[in-house]
Amino acid sequence: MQKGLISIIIPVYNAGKFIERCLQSLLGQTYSNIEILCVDDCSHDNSCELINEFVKKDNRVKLFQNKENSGPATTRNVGLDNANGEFIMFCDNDDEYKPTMCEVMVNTLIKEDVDLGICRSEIFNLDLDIGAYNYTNKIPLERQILNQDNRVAINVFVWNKIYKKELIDKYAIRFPDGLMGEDTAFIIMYCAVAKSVFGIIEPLYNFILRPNSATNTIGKFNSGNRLFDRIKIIEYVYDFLIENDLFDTQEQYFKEMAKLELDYISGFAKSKNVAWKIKKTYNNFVKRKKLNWKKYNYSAIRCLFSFARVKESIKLFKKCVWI
Amino acid sequence: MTNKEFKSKDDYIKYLKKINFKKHLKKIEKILKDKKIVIYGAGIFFEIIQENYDLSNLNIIAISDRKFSESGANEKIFGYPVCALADIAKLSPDYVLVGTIKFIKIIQDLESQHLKDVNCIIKPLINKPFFELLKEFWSCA
Repeated sequence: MQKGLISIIIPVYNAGKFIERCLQSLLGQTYSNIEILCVDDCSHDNSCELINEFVKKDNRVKLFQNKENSGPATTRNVGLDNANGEFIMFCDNDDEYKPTMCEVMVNTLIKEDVDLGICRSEIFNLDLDIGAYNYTNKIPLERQILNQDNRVAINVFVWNKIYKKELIDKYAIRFPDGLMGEDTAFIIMYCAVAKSVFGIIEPLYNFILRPNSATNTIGKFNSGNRLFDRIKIIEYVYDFLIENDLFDTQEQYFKEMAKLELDYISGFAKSKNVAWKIKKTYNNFVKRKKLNWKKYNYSAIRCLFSFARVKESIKLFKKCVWI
Repeated sequence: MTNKEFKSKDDYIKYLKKINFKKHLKKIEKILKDKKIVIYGAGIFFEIIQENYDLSNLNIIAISDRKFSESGANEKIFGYPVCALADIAKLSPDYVLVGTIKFIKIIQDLESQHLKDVNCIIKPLINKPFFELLKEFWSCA
């Protein structure tokens, strides 16, 4: 592990149109002690040729190629396995970093002595002139010790954050191979072991929203059998917490995140049959792991609420009306 | 209506007529008389509001937005001074009115983080119909 080095991992798949701009934004960083790990997942365009041009010009750029198409989880894991840096960051192959992103993120992590740094992002919507409210802007601000409340508030994108490799290696945190929603699992696992966070108010990441990007075609990825990946994610995270003796301390966080995942996928269930199947698959997980049925069955977890939360919701609702 | 349904300025104008913003504006002019107001949200929605409605009876002291990194009387937007989010407290406003169509998450954000130590009331600039508000609220929950 090289001290001060940031390893930036870029999963690459048919990124020919955008990868040059992405790499230029990384090579133009004000903080130069970086290595850029491009991991190609068997693209069938000219992504690798374009990346190799950068490899020839700058030895900070490295290219790894998967032997078979494996999905973003395995691809990012290849990056983690080959990273030499003290810090890890991610970038999607069609997005960009603002010039000071690495400098601000790494300096903040070191100066504030935290385990996780989060920045805001700017959305560039190539479809519409009208921008969307950027929900990556809701982050715990300034330095905070992580607790049950603010852990849940951390969004599950991997690319607006900086991580300590030492923590990732200590707990062998990896993306679950072959599953969609892999970033959610990574963030939950990392946040479960991180003690503190610093939220940077400045938007440092340019998130480019394209018509065919994974985010914009998210419905496609959350249909059919892919829906059930999310339940496997819940199970993957549960196994991680148990193996690392973290379940007792992180149980509430796990329940909240399980609820969010189930709420999320239930929104994509196009029929009662699918909705029933989601419920059954999740309940089978609860039985298999011998979790407390009263606390963890599907209905119980989706009704997860407290009177305090209801009171808070009513208070917020009243603020939003003019009486 | 979601943001996706607003494809042009006319759509926003129609929406404002639909929610009878003119009537609501007259009402809040009386409620907020002589109160210092900061508008949060310098996007297209507020741009259309200030183009199509007379806001002169509201004592708007500044416009703020997350994209403003600095404040200054020299910097103006729509004729109002610009204020960075972090500097709202210095202005000691009585009200911060959120000038966006979807405002629940923003109000929550401002209350819990940026303006939690500021003694002001945060409300939306518009008055949404009850069921539309409930729908937005449900989508945020």
